[in-house]
Amino acid sequence: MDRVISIEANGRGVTSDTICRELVDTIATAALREGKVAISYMRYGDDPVRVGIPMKAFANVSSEWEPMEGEVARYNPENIDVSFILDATLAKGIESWAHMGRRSVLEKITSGALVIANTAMAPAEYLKYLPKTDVDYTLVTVDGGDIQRPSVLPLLGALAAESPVVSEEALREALSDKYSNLGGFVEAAAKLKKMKVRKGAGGGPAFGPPPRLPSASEMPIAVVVPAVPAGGRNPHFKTGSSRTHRPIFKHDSCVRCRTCWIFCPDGAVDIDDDGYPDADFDYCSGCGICVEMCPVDAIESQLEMREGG
Amino acid sequence: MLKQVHGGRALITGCVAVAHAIRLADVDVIAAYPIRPYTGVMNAVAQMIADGEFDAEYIVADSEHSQFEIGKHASLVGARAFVGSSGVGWAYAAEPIVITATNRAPVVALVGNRALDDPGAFGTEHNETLMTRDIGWMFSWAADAQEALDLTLLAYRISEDPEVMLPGAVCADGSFVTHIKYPVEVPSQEQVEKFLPPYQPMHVLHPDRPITVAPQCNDEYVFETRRQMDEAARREPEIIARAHEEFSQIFGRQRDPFLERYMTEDADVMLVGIGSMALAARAAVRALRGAGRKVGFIRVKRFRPFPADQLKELLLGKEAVGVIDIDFSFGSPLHGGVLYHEIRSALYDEEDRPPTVNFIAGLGGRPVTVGSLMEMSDVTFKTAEAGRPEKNVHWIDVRE
Repeated sequence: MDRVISIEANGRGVTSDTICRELVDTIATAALREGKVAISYMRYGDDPVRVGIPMKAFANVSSEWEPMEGEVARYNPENIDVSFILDATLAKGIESWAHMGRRSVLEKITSGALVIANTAMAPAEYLKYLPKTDVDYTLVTVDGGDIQRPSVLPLLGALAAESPVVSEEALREALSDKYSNLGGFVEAAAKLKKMKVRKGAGGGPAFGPPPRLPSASEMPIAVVVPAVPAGGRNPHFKTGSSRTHRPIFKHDSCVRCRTCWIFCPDGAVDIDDDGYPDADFDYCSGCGICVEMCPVDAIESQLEMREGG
Repeated sequence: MLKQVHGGRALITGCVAVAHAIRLADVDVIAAYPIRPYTGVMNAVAQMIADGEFDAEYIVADSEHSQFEIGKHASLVGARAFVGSSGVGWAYAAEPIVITATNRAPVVALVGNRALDDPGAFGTEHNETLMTRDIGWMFSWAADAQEALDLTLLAYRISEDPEVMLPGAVCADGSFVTHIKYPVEVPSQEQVEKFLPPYQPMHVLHPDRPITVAPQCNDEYVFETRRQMDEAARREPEIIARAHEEFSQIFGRQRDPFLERYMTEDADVMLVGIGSMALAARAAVRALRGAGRKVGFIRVKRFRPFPADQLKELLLGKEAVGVIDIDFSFGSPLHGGVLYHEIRSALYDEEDRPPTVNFIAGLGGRPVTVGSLMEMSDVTFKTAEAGRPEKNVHWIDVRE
């Protein structure tokens, strides 16, 4: 290993941020134990974590300290060699640290990367939801036991089986600090499903290039930015990435009272010409307040992504 | 809580490393008020106290102003005290920050460097520290989590020296030092006790020996109190050098009290900077050396007292010097950074002073990358060839 290997964990604030950190910390600890050097960190802008908001944590591993030095003082590694997707719905995209809008969950993966997703779906099925990439990579799916809060054991078991970044023995030793039963770790190799993904494959959302940021001479003076006009929505901040459950509006029992429209904290409910509500799923964060507030139970909450689509 | 990883090293952030230094220094009073990135320290200390690993008076104040008042008062009645803040939090505490120095209270603070508002930003900038540079505090600057721990222990030793008795701040770049987990050697209690004697306050408030602290007075006394502080500040370098000497004997680190020297010995041109940029700077210097460019990097570890003599020793006679500021001083003599003007001032009276050029970089926390440093090196070499700077101040990586 003559270069820095970067590992990324994609999760959600509060829901799985501790699991993201446990993943990268365990990998870094295992690397240190086998005499390598390592650092780990949460993406600075995600801390303090916010409920359901996509977030990332990272580890850098290298055999020597010197190659690491140019990579430390950053907000994220530039090239990801191993990516964990803790919640399959993150295929929709994830906000970057800066004001770049929603970006592909696979944006930074490098050629030949290993992507380990927590889902019971087979890789070919999950690939239908993932965005296209411009590199080839290996997609591994493993059932972490919970669609949002997986155990780290099968995820790290999959890493041990598919990547040489740290040895299985060092991972086992690092996990033994906390876990007495490593069954999930040991069994992952036999249970995981994997496929080679060619560049350009993937049926998920398309993401363009990052937005062009204005220069000092173009920006308004005095820390002023144009706001979203009344009734409009921010095209650069689509809050739907935090949604894991979606509201289904049943118009046959709806009484058109607009309670959902009033209470939606994201202003994501639109009323159609006949007075019936529907969510704008670019912006609906899936909080479920409309479901709770509807006086006639005409809104139902469904899992965003279920087995079989 | 401290999980040993390998050979006594733990994988911890700079904030947690500082919390371990506080625990090991057996600090008596911790006054806290949250603002990130400093918050990581108060969280870690609170956790240690809750877990029964550390016993101290932990006071959450109603603002940074009260927080620093508490730290100062605790120190003056004989408690070893710790405070800390970031960005506008440090600015809001400015009044007690000044008085902590004028009352000669050897409080130690952690400044988790953060850009001043507006716009509200979390990323590192050094201006909040530098706006309090002239009032008697000592400032040391960590490049990584290990150094944040080391400098905190050193700060107590130096501040509480009877020859000094002035507060000291350990500065750490937001995110890059405060929030990244590095392998850190956490020393033992025995080692720290060998290095750091118990705190002896100068004056003890006691009914048998009544004193008044900080009475109102004007020109008839103020001038002389300033003179006392100046004398203490002039003694600091020697006390600092001695403390580092003993620290390195006990812990095997921190041999150089004032500067980090990276490939400086045979360098034709020199880059000078502060803080975590040093990591990328070392990588850039190695790459440039590989291409036959004789450049060295100096990291300024202490800003007050300013290491003018040590810098002169390394910079005089060089072909050119590039000074990197993660700060700004609007309207300053050359419209450049604070470090740049300090270094130019230190070199002014010397015959063989090199031409100097300034780089404003990393504002708002924008990473100072290896690529940015290569660009700075190029400009510095061009300055060397021309014998004088084409222009003094270059903004690096800004969208103009």
